[in-house]
Amino acid sequence: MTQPSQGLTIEVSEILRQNQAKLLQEHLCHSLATKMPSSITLDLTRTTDVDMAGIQLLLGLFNTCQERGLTVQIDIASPKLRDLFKTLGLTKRVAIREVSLHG
Amino acid sequence: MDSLMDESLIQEFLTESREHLSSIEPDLLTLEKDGANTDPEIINRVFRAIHSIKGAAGFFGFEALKKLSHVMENLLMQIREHRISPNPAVIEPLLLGVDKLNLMVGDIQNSETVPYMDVAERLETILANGGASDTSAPSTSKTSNNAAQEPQTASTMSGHSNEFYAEPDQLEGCKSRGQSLFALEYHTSDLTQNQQSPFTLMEQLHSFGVVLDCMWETETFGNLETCLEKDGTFQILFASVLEADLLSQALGLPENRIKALTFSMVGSNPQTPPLVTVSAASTNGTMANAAASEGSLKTETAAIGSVMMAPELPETPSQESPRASTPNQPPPMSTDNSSVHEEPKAKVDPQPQRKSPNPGSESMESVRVRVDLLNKLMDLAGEMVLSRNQLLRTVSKDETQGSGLSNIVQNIDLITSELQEHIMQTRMQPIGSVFGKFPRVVRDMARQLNKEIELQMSGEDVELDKSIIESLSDPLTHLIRNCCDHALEPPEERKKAGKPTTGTIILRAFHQDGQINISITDDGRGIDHHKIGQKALKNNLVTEAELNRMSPQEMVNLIFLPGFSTAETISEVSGRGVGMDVVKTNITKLGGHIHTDTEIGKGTTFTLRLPLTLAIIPSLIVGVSNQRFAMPQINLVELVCIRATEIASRIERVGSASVLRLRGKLLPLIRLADILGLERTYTDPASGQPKPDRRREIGDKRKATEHHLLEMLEKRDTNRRRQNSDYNILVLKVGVNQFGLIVDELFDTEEIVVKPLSGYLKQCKCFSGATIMGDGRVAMILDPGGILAYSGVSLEEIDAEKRRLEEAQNNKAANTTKRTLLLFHNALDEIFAVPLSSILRLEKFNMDRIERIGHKEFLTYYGKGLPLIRLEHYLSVNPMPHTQEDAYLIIPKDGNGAAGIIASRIIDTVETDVVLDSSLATDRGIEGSAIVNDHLTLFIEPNGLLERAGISTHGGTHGH
Repeated sequence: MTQPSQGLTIEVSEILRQNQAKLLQEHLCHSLATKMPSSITLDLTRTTDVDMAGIQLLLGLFNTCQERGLTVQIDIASPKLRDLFKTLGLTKRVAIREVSLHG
Repeated sequence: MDSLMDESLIQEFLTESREHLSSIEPDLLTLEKDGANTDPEIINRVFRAIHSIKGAAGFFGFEALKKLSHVMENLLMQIREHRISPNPAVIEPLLLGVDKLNLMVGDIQNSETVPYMDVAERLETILANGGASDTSAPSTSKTSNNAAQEPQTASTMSGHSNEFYAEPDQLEGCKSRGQSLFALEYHTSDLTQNQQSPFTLMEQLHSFGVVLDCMWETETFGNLETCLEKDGTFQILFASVLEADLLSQALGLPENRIKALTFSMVGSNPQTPPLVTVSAASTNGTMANAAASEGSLKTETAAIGSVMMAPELPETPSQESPRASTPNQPPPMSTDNSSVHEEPKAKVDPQPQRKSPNPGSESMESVRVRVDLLNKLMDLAGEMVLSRNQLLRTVSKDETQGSGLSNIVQNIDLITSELQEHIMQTRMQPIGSVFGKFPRVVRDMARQLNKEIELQMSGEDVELDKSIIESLSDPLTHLIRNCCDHALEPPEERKKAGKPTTGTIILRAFHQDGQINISITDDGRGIDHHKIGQKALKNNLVTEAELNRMSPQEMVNLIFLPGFSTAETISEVSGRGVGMDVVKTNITKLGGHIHTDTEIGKGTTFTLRLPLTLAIIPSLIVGVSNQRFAMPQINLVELVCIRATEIASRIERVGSASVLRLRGKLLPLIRLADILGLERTYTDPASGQPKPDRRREIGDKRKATEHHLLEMLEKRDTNRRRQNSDYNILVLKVGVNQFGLIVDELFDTEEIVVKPLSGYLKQCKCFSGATIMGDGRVAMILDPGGILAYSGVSLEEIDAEKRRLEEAQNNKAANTTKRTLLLFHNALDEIFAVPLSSILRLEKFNMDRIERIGHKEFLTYYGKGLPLIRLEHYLSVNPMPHTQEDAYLIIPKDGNGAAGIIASRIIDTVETDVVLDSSLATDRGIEGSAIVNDHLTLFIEPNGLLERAGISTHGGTHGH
């Protein structure tokens, strides 16, 4: 049985749309299955564009992590993305950390 | 500017709400009558109307209005969904709710003070009990207050629960901006199919309102492996000023995915943890743990006391609603409160356009126009008519007839008339707007009085001027209520009388002779004129003598006297003695009159006759003292010209009034110049100039010199003489009565534009308005009713006298007695008669012989002091001339020569058939009147006269 690792951080591209979401989904599924992380951090600091598939993926991830007792954190830097997540109430569902790219 | 705009918006809302409410009532009555068989469109119409009121009330922040209409809407939805049967017990509180809404709309600023909770609770009880109105029935959802009840009902409505959360400041901001709250249900497929990103969705939402919260139905998203294949559902708490239907169009979101929320439904406690599990009634989504979550969430939402989904979007049944077309939709549980707020099943409408609330009116295009704007248009049209008149007058004097100007003017004349006519039509409204409230009035009265009453109406589309329509409501209501209360018998009584147990009231409106007739007919007990007379006598409204002289019709008309009531007990319905006099007064004010036809045991018909409009009226222009006045032709019966030579023979005095003998009838005369305080004038035949007319009484002749002149002129120019010295009499009708108005000159008839009197002339009851004549001068419009009232002439009395005279003439052969009379004068213009048989002695004496003790007069007669009686001391007659040297002493047999009556001149003795008319026998001492030798003659009753003088008819004098 694979032991849970410490934490898993996955960097997401600038765009998180249907195609990227599909790739990220596969990557996350594989990582969860193989690395058994105790927590997952999605690094969206470079991401500025998300479509509905991206949001669906995040919600699917939240559900899975909730089922498995994993903590999820999202790092974002784009104010536009931050506002969207806030408006969509995602900030109520998951820890979102704002990261300043300008140090 | 904002406040002005708000005010106008509120006014518009109120106007619309009134219209909605007036349409709801008859529909509810139909619903009550037809029950489950009611045309669904009627239910939809009521629903739409209430829903519109609720929506707009929420927009403007009228909370009481909104809350009550909301709970009414909920019940109506249940009726529409056939979950609750529209029986009388259900309709009753809805009607009461309409009453409350009417009260609120009637005084919107104080709408919050209107008590409505009792009605709201009744409605909620029915909702909670699935249609049962019994408040004692156990209610699973009944709680101590409405707010607590709502979430419980709502939380079970779809088997799921919602909880939105927003900051209190945000909610307050939305309220202050007049925004309503909505739950918008989105599916991820909506966005993916349209290739719409969440960013653009947010931008779109922000352009129509404010996004306050978002809830994700996490179950519908699946887990990491399946999430991209799932069609997840999320809901957005959205605040907007738009109505749901507009919002649907704006956002491109099906209407069944937009649900109205109230502010109380949104959690506003920042400490309240947001609920994790979220779902609206997704029509195609499923919840794996719905059943499990339901129970727990019920508790949570009840504690928060805030969740409720409102039924929505009744206006446009949408084809997009999956429920509407899903045949396998599980039937709603009527005993479960969950059904109460479930999204209404939309009826599939092959025509997606918004339906007109009034079937059959789809083809009628209309716009709403402010009344003040219409009034302004009316004023302008009036001004144009006046200018047209001036133009016509000017052009008619123009000598350059060949210029073609007259053709142009003729065109302008035609166009102006047409324009005026059409603008007038904009003020016309169907009388159905007044009739519409009577089904409810009759229904409520029938219940209250335990009677069975059917109301039949016809002629609802007959149109009347707006101002008349508005003034008709109260009089008609009084009449209908009186029919229900007084006229129609209870079922048992009707059965005994061989009538159907259900009484019928027929309300009709129809055109007749250029006027509108409105008749109210009942098949009740009719009006017993004897009872009416006795009641009037008991209430001191008439004297016994007056009553004895009255015809049955006159007795019936006593019901219109102020303070008259036949009701033995004062009830909520009637019996306060007010009403019928108000009816008559109001109808008279409108230039109309009321007539009563009744038959005991069969029923009664009240007929109101009214003018079509009060704005522009045909009038006769008359002149007095070089001033012109307009007399509405509706009051004009005929014109009578009395030649100067006929004045003395045709105009007589009855008491203090001058009367014209017109075709055997007596017509009281009023001189307009006297009423208006103007100098009486006539045109001097010699100079052609107006000169003062010094005739003191109407019946006076001109001075001898004037007569001489007249005779000379008559030979030269009969027409000219007629114009100058004759009396022009307008025979006018006020109600069923008539009187003559003497004017100096008669001009043409003209269509005049009625302009209201300014404030400081409002008290001048002789005028009903003013107008501007073709020459630009102002003319006052005469009000016959006001003139009559101001003159103090009792028209009814003289009218009654007139009818009695007719009757007397008809019965003359049967009732006449041949009597020998002594005719004499007291004042020289009055003739008296005393039967010769009642005279003991007749002697001439010198007035110097009269001796006085105090105010009493005596004549030494056969060694005794004989008390003298001057008629003017005891009767309402003119005095004897002071210049009289000799007089006559009439000693009656009554009292055995105890007193003498003074006569100034003996005319003659005549033997004649007389029919005494007792209408003038108002004073004791006068037996009556009769026409003797073509003159009105007062018959003295010596016995009564002696008694009035304090002289015993058995001999001797009573002390005064």
